[in-house]
Order: sequence, then C-alpha cells, then structure tokens
Amino acid sequence: MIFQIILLIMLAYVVGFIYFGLYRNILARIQGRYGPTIYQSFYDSIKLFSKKNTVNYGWMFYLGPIIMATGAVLTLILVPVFSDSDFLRSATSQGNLFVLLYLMVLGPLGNALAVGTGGNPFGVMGVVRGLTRLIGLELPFYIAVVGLIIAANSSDIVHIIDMQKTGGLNIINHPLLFIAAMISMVGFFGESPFDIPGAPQEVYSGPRTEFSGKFLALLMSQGSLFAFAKLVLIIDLFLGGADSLWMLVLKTLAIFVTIIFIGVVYGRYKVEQAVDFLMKIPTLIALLGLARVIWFG
Amino acid sequence: MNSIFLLLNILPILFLYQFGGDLHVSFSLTKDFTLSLIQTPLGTFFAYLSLISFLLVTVSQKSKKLSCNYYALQLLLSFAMLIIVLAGDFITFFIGWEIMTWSSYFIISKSNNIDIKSLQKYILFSLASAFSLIAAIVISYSFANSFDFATISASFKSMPFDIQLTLIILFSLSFFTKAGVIGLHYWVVDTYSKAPDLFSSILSAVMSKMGIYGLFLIYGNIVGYQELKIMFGTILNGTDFGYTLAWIGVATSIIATFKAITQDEVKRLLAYSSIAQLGYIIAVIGFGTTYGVAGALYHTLIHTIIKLLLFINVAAIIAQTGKNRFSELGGLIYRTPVSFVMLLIGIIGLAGMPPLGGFASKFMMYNAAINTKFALILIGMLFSGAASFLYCYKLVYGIYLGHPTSKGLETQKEVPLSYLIPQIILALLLVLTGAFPGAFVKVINPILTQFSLKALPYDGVGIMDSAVGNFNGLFIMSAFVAFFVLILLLISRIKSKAKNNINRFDISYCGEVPSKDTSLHYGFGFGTELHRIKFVNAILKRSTATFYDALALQTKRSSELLSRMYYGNIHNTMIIILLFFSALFFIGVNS
Amino acid sequence: MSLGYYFLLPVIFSFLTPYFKKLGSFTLRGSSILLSFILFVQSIAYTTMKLPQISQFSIKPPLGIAFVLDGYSLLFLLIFTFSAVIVSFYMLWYFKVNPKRDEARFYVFFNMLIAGSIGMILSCDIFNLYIFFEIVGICSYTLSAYNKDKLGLESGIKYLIIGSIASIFIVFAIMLIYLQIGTVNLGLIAQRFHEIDPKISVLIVLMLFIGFGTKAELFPMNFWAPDIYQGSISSVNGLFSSVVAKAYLFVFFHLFYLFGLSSKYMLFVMVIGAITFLVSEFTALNQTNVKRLFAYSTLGQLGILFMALSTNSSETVSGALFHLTSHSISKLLIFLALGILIHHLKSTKISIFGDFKSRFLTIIFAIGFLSILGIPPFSGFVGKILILKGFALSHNYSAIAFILLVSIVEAVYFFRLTAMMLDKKGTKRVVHVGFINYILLCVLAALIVIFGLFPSLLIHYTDLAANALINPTDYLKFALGVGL
Repeated sequence: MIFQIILLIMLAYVVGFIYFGLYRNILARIQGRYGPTIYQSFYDSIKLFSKKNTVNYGWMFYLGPIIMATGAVLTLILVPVFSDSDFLRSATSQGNLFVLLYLMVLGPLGNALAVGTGGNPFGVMGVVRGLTRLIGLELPFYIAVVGLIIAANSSDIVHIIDMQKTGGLNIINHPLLFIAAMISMVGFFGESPFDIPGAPQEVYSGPRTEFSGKFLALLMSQGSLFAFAKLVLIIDLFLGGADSLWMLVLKTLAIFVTIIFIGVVYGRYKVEQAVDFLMKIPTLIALLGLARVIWFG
Repeated sequence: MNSIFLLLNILPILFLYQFGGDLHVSFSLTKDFTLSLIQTPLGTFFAYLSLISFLLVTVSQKSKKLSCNYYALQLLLSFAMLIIVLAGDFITFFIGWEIMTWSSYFIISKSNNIDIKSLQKYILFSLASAFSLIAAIVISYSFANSFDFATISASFKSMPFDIQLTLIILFSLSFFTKAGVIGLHYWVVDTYSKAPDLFSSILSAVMSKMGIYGLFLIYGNIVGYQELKIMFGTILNGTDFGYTLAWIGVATSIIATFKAITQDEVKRLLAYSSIAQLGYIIAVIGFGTTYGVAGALYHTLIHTIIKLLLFINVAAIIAQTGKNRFSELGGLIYRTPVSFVMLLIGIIGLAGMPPLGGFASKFMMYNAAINTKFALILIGMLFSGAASFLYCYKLVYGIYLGHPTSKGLETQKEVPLSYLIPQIILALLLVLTGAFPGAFVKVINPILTQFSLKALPYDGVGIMDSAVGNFNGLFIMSAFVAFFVLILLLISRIKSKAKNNINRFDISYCGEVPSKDTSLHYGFGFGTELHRIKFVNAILKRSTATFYDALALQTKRSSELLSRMYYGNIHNTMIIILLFFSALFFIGVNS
Repeated sequence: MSLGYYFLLPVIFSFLTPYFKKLGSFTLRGSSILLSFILFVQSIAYTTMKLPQISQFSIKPPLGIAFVLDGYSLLFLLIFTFSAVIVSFYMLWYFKVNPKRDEARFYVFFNMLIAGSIGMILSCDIFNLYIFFEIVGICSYTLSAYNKDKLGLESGIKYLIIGSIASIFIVFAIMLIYLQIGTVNLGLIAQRFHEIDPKISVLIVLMLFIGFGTKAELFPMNFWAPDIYQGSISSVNGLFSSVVAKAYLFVFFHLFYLFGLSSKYMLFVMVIGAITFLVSEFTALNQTNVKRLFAYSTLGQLGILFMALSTNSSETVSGALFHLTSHSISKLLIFLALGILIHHLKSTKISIFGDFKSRFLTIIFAIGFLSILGIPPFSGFVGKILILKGFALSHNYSAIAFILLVSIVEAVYFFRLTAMMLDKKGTKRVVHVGFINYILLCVLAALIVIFGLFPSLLIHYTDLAANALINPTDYLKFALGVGL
C-alpha cells in the first residue's frame, strides 16, 4: 500500500504540475502572450525548495503548510483513482464523501493558522475572504453532492462509481447537478470570477503573502496534489471514474480545461458579489437538479 | 475549599457507578405526589455527562478564589441536574428543573459584569420555560391521573389529538427555550457572555443539554417515536414531525452561525456557536430513526466536550489578560502555547473536521438525514457547517494569532495549570472520540433499545458504520498523523536559513513599514463583509430583540394604564363600588 | 379551653392593656406575647381534638349564640394565631428601635384585632359575625393610622370610609336575610336559603359579595387597598396581608358554600378573581413604593385564591388553602423583613433593595419571593401545583394558562427586586437584623422550606379544611344544635 501511495503522490505531482503549466500556457495564449514552458511550475518549485526563507514566525508558521500538505495527501489517498482496479482500494474504503468534503477544508485551515501567525493583515484578509467565499461556493457543491448521495443512497464514492456503471453516467442523469458542481469547482480552483482571496492586486496575494522558500514550494506542491484530487473526485462523481491511466488523464484534462476556459473569460467578483451570485443561479440550478433526484429518482 | 468540593463532585459519580443502572428510589411527598428516581440508559448517559463536566469545571476553578456558597450553589445545581436526568416522574423532574433554574440564577448573579437586564432576561425565559413545562405536566395529569412517566406514556395514545398536539408543543417550547432555539434564544447570548467565565461552560455544555434531555424524554419516552409517526404521518422517508423539527433546528443553526461570526465579544461568539450546535441536535432529534437518535446523542457528547474545552480556555485567557473582546486580544500564541493548542483542537472539533470527534458526530447526523431523504435539511446542516469555519477561525485568530493589540499581551504568561488540566483531558477525549468513533456505539445502543429502535451495527472500535456509508476513524487519524510526521521530517531535512524571532512589524506591507500605531490585528474587522451579502445581511439585521423589547414596552404601557386606576381617590372608589353593585344587581335580577 | 373563652381571652387582654401599661412596658409586651402564645398553643391543641367543636352560651343553638370550630376554621385559626405570635415578637424589636411610640395603643388594637378575627371565623350566627367584622374593621382603621403622619392618617380615614360602606352592604344583607327567614343562625340560613325569592336572594348574595369582597380586596372594589398598605407600619401590613384579608376571605367562602350557591356565581367569582389577579400583577410592575408593590402582590395572590376557592372541588380548594397558608407565611416574612429594611434605610422607595448589604436578608427575601412565585422546593410550589392540578382535573385549561401567564408578569417584579439585591454595584449600607428578628425570620423561612419539602404535614389540615368547607354537613349539624 505504501508503494501505491508513493506512486499516486508522484503521479498527482507530475500531472498536477503539468496541468498547471498548461494552464499558464492557455492563459497566455488567450491573452496574446507566449507564456512559459509547460514545466515552468516544476522549475519554480524546485528552485523554491532550495532557496532560503525570508522570515520565520515560529512553529505554527512552520506547521501550517505541513498541515495543509497533509490534508492534500490524505484527500488524495481517499479518492478512488481507478474505478475497476484494487489500486489503493483498502485506503479509499476507509473514508467516504463527507470525510472528503471536510478534509478539503482541513488543509486550508492549517494554512490559515500559519497566515494568522505571520500577522500580515493582507494574508488574513485573504483567508477571511476565502472563508466567506466558501459559504457561497459550498452551497451549490453541497447540493450537487447531496443529490448524488441521495440518488445512490450512499456516501461511499466507490458505490457511486459502481452505480454509474449500470445506471449511466451522472453527468447525463443529473446534468443540472453537474453544472452546479462545475461552477463551484471554478471557485475551488481559485479561478475567476471567484479568485478574490488570492488576488495579487487587492490583498497582496492574500494567504501566500508571507511565505517564501520551502514553504511556498510546499504550498505549490500541495496545490497541485490537491488540484489533482479534486479533479479525480469530480470524474468519480459525475463521469464514472477512470478505468485506465489514459482515461484518467483524458477525463481530468477535459474537466480542467473546461474550468480554465470558464475562468479566463471572466473578471473578478468582489467577495460579496461572488457569494450573492453563487447563492442565486448555481444554487437554483442545483436545487432544480436535487428536486429531480428526489421526486423523479 | 476547592478540594473539598472536588471531592463532593466525585461522590455522585461513584454513587452512580456503584448502582450501575439499578437505581430505583421513591419517596412519598404527599398522597398525590410520589417522587421517584429511576435510572434509564438515557438518564445515565446525561448524568455522567453532567457530573463529569461539573468535576472538570471544579478542577479549573481552583485558581479562582471562589466563596463557599458559590461552590455550594454549583453543587446544588449539579444535584438538580442529577434529579432531572434520573427522575421517574414529572414532579421530580419539575422540582429538579426549577432548582436548576434558581441555583444557576444565583450563580450567574455573582458575576462581576452581570447587569439587572440580563439577569431578568435569564430568569424570565427560564420561568417561561418552566411554566410551559408545568402546564404540559398538569394537562397530561388530567388525562393520566398520575405524574409517572410510564403511566403518562401509556395513556398518551388515548388522548384526543388536539391535547396530544398541545402537550408536544408545550413540552417542546419549554425545552427549546433551554436549548436556545432561534426565537427563544434571546436570553442565551447575554447570559452566557455575562455569567462568571467558568460558569458559562456549565451553562453551555451542560444546562442546555438538559433541554435536549427533555426533548429525548418527550419524543422518545413519553410520546414515543412510533406514536409520533402515527400521529403526524410521513414525508419522504421520515415523519412530518421530524421534518418540521428539522427545519427549526436547521434555521437555528444557520442564523446563529451567521450571528456568531459578527460578534466581537469572545463569549458571545461561543454562545451563538452553542445555539448553532444545538440547532443540529434539534434538527435530527425528531427523525425517530436509529441514526437520528444516535447522531443527536453523539453530538450531545461532542458538543459538551467542545464547549467545556472552549469556554474553559477562553475563561483562562480572560482571567489572565482581563480582556474579553477580539479587538482587545491577539498574538498570544507564543505566550500561551498550550492554551493555543487546546483551543485549536477545540475548534477543529467544533468545525467538525476529521480526524477529531466532531466529525464522527456530524457524520452520524448527516447519515440520518440521508436515511430519511431529507436532502434540504442535510444541505442546511452542511451549509451552516461551512459558515461555521469562519467563526472557528475568528476564535483562534482573534485571541492567539495576529498581532497583540496592547502592551500587556506581549508579556503574558501561560495560564495556570488548573485551567490546563481539564482542557488537556477534554482534548484527549476529542482525539479519542475521533479515533474510536465505534466505541460510542456501545453507549448508544442501550438508549436506542430504550426507545425501541434498531441498534447500531458495531464493526470495531475504530469504525463508524451506517447503512449509507462508513468511515474508519482510526485509519484517518493514524494516516493523518503519519503523513504529518512524514512531511514534517521531509521538510525539516531541507535546510534553509531563516531569521527567527523577528520584529513583528517586519511583514510584507505593500512596500511600507507599519509603525506601532498601525492597526494590524484584523480580528475585529471579521465578519463585516458578511453585511454586504444580501442573504446574510437579511439575517444579521433582524433580531428577536425587536420583538421582545416591544413586548416589554407594551407590558410596561399596559401596566401604566392599569395603575392609573389606583390613584387613591376615595370618592371615585366609592362610586365605582356602588356602580359595580348596581350593574351586578341589574344583571342578576334580570337573568 | 372552651371556644367561648378562647376568643374572649384576647378581648380581656385588650381591655387590661391600660393596666399593663402602668406596670411597665415589659409587662405590656410580655402580656401580648403570652396571650398570642396561649392562643397558638391552644389552637394546636385543637388539632388533636375531634372536630367540629362547639361552645354555646346558655341557650342551645339555633336560638342561642354559639361558636363552632370545624376543619376549615381550624386552619385559619392556626394561621392567625401563628401570625400573632410572630408579630408580637417582632414588636419587641420594633418598640426597641422606636422607643417613643405609644405601645399601649398598638397592643390594645392588636389584641382586639386577633380577637375579632378569631371571632369572625368561629361565630356561627351571622349577626355576631357582623359584630366581629366591625371589631376587626375598627382595629384595622386605627392600626393603619398608627403612624400619625399624613400617609397614616390618610390610610386610616380611607379605610374607615370604605369599611363603613362595606358594613352598610352587609347590614342590609343581614337585615334582608332576617326578614326573609327570621333567623340569624348560619345553620338555619343555610338550610332555608333556597326558599327565599330568587330576586331577593340575588340581592342578598350581591350585597354580601360587595361587602366582603370590598374588604377582601377584590377588583374593582380594591382601589383603596394599596393606600392602606402604604400608610401603615410593616408589621401591620403583615397582619393585613396574612390575617385580616384572610379572615374576610374565610367568611366570603364560608357563606358562599353554606348557601350552596349555583355554579353561575362560582364562575362569576372565578372571573372576578382572575381579573383581580391580572390587574394587580400588571399594576405592581409599575410601582416605585415597596409597600404598595407588595400590597398589589397580595391582591394578586388573593385573586388566585378566589379563582381556586370557587371551584367546588376539594382538590383545588385544598390546594388553594395550602397556597393561602404558604402565602400568609411568605408575606409575613416579606413584610417583617421589609420593616427592618425600611427602618434602616429610612425610605420606602423600591431602590432600597439595591442599597442594603446583608446576606441574611437577601436569602430571606429570596426565599419569600421564590415561595410566592411557586418555585420548588418552597411551600408556594406545592400550593400552586395543587391548584393547577385541580384545574387540570376539571379540564379548566384556560385557568391554568391564565395563572401561568400572569405569574410570569409577577416574576418580572419579584426578580427585579432580587436582581437589585444581588447587584454588586453602588454603595451598600450594612443592615443589622437584630437577634429577635433573626430568629423570627429563620422560623418563617424554615416553615416555608419545611412545608415545601414535606407538604404532607400541612396537606392533612388543608384537606380537612377543604372537606369541611365544601361539605358543611357536620358544621350544619352543630350549628343547628342537632348533635348536642
């Protein structure tokens, strides 16, 4: 199992960074630039690991990024990566969808603690905006997830994947829930229009303001792990999971590119605008989807 | 003094342990009233909960110079609660309930920052709760001819429907007031925030649970979940009754969560959070399913642990610094590191995150909602949980993180050991309940049997099992610890120089250097954004205070109006007497 | 001791008071204490005897004068004599701290008041009853004017006027009864009351209702009552609240049940009681004078008692009598403690509750308040729950709701006072209670707690009283002289 975990982390690491490089490229092309190489994020990360820290604010500042990374890794191993194989199945069967929903917040909490210790008001502002935005983001996502759980009558992800093998993909069965979840995902990936917490121009990059050196590198790495975990979760829930590595890459890439494309065309919402918006249209869509699940199966 | 009362607090625990479930005492008060104490699994659970809480709080009271009658009143309160949870009939229950009311009233009045208005709020709501309770009790007596739980329960089925409904509403109102359901929570926040700091933990952790016990008693024992189903019919996979109650609970939880975020006083935030957490319990208590009851019980346990931990922690900080507002605190993390870690564990539990016990109880409740297909309820609970991260973070940030807001905070010492010991015990409990969620199944199952519900499956001490999903607390806990240690080791291998213990003004600040006057502690700015969100603002700008203040005003006005009659003119009095006589005579002779 | 001498004793003491005065104040005070003690001990002795007891003067009833003691009057006898003991001890303190007051004037009327009250509850013919009614009245007028200041005299005069009006009604009622039936013996009247022409009987009942209702402080005939309480000294307030008002209430219901009035009247009395309760409690909220405040509280409690006593069910009536006893003790406690407070702080403003510092008095007041509010484990609780239980058994849920809702209003001002006492802010003056008062208040508080914890001690007597009240057959037998 330990071998599998290492393998998975490496996979997520590579895929996550490549996707991130891809993202920077796509963004550049849309903005009429060339952009960096696709491996730029790798280089950045390796460089940062070897650079010295500017400052250190004590042990909580030290532990915060580590908690965040732990959260990301834990999330990763609890999401079933392959639908048919036994790959890491013994780990994934220990958790369920609710564990994942909460684990997704545990990491950011650790980071928030470190940011708070740093004492930079911009960082805290970013954290608070992030948490406020979360109120809005989670609502449509929760409705979508609850809809799926009710439909499957189980909070076990493996069970939800298995259901899709016989009953058809959830994206087809519950398109409204999928749309709502995707809108939330745009926010979870920190994309416009929901990217206020880390906005460089407004809150000075927000939570990451004070981090440097290996901590920033750790944050970047966990970000890519976490992004991969989220993508896998989405394909597990709506696209029936992936039975092979190629399907995994294909499906996650499709989702990721969709999210990027949504992200690049929008401007940035203020935090209250974001929450207001999320509480209206996506929530409504999700509720319609939920009503369909409850009343029409 | 403290050690004597500590001993006195241990005695009832030993006593209860000695009886081991077979306590059955009765005492004849008059020919009509027989007081009886019967030990049920439910009562025993709540009894241990309250007794151990009292014990822990007494431990932490060691460093406070408290008078003998404070301790005596507290002991009386614990005794009253013991009576409540062991009562076998409603008179005993009510006597315990009222002793609880006034003994806590006198303890609260000993606080230094209490005022008459808050005391009045507390006692009037408590009495309103008690009077609604006694009304329900005598009404049920008029049908059952007995105050005995068993007899009333047996005759409940034969009562007319409107009486059944009235009884349920009256009982519920009474217990809702104690638990602080939204609308009836007007007293909660003021009382919790102005009570003696350590006593707030009792109020929030134990006394509000008496309301929950009452609800269990009524829904589970007196009425019976089966009967509720028959009375009210079903919706989706649950009952109409459970659905209504669930909405009340969820509304409570959401509204209180948002109110909590905007508070500046530490204990007010905790008070609102307490209301919100009890909202969850009330949301699932009426489901009448195994998971509903189990979730409510589990969350009762977890909430007691967490609120004791948090209130003791905050009380220690307030005692140490003399400040009770987020805008006056901050930056204590390296001054009081143990306290910080304890609070951190507390808020992780409060937020309901794995791997601590808070998640296990929430998971049980969510499962209950899935089981009954109450999707909106589940979403409401999840939503309120998401919003609660904000106040959890505010709590830890406002006190321990960020910048100290005054000189005194920079030289603060760690809080006394007497405060820390109970906190450490509670934090360990939280960790244990998180790692071994299955252990609690054995406690719950007898209670479920008492309510004639199906028992929970038991798959081992680390696993929480349910029909719609399970999780292995032990695995998640150990995986978390393992990864944490691993990553820590890896990162610490990467040598990178950094200057430690730097000047706290050395931060990235848009190229400028903040001076000593720059306000860097963001703590009191928290939650202002929420006002700009329409939906949240709609909640925040409304308050039940408007209603209750208007009620108080109208009472005062009518009182003034009526007292004008008594202005002491003897001629008019005579004329009124004569007129009254004539009027009565006229009516009397003509009819 | 025969009943006749029993009530004559205080009269004799009262007439001897001027001579005692000559023998010195020690004799004067001692005699009063001795008298009340004898009366109390004797009334306890009555509890062991077979009831009813009768004492006749030369001619057998129904023609002669007779005194009858049944279960109902026994309870009141105990309350009255107990209150007398407490008050006479309390006056030791009062005259010690107010050495210039005229002691004899107090004791004459005090003894006479006790005599009159006892006479009122024992006498079994309506004319004697009227005489005692007047005796009690006159003593109350003078006692309420004991403070010869503006307020005291005002209250004396007002009481006199209202008392006279009430007397007129009663005299007329008695006259009409005599004209119709030709007797003043209660037994005979009870037997033949239904023979009276209904229109006349309505008039009689109404006149009695107005007469006794005015004195028993029922709405809307109670606009004078708070003024009386305001003008008199605290011990007299205590007497008014726990003896005088209760004596009138006794007669009211004694006649009510003896005459076997129809349920229409009962409903009427219940409604009037409810209105009294409501109006008084609401009015009390707005008071700034403590004596008036507790006066209104007394009116309110009388309202509950009228509601509960007019139900004709032995359960409720027994509960009401329990409540009455507990209320008498509590109000006595409150008024006596209040007297101490007023003496030390020289004010009757409500704010005095925030200005004193004495843990003992705080506890005493708290016990009194909690008991009146009906909160366990104090005696008021048992009374209240018995009343509520009685209403519940007759499925009168609106009464239950009403009592409980208005009780919350009552709690507002009682707990406002409590909160003021417990408030730590402001300057506080230390109040020394004094040894005698310490003992007295302890006894009263202990009784409240004991009756709360072991109500069966008292319920025995209230049950007896309730049965005697509702089924007066035994009483009638004796009143008619049949059993002799």
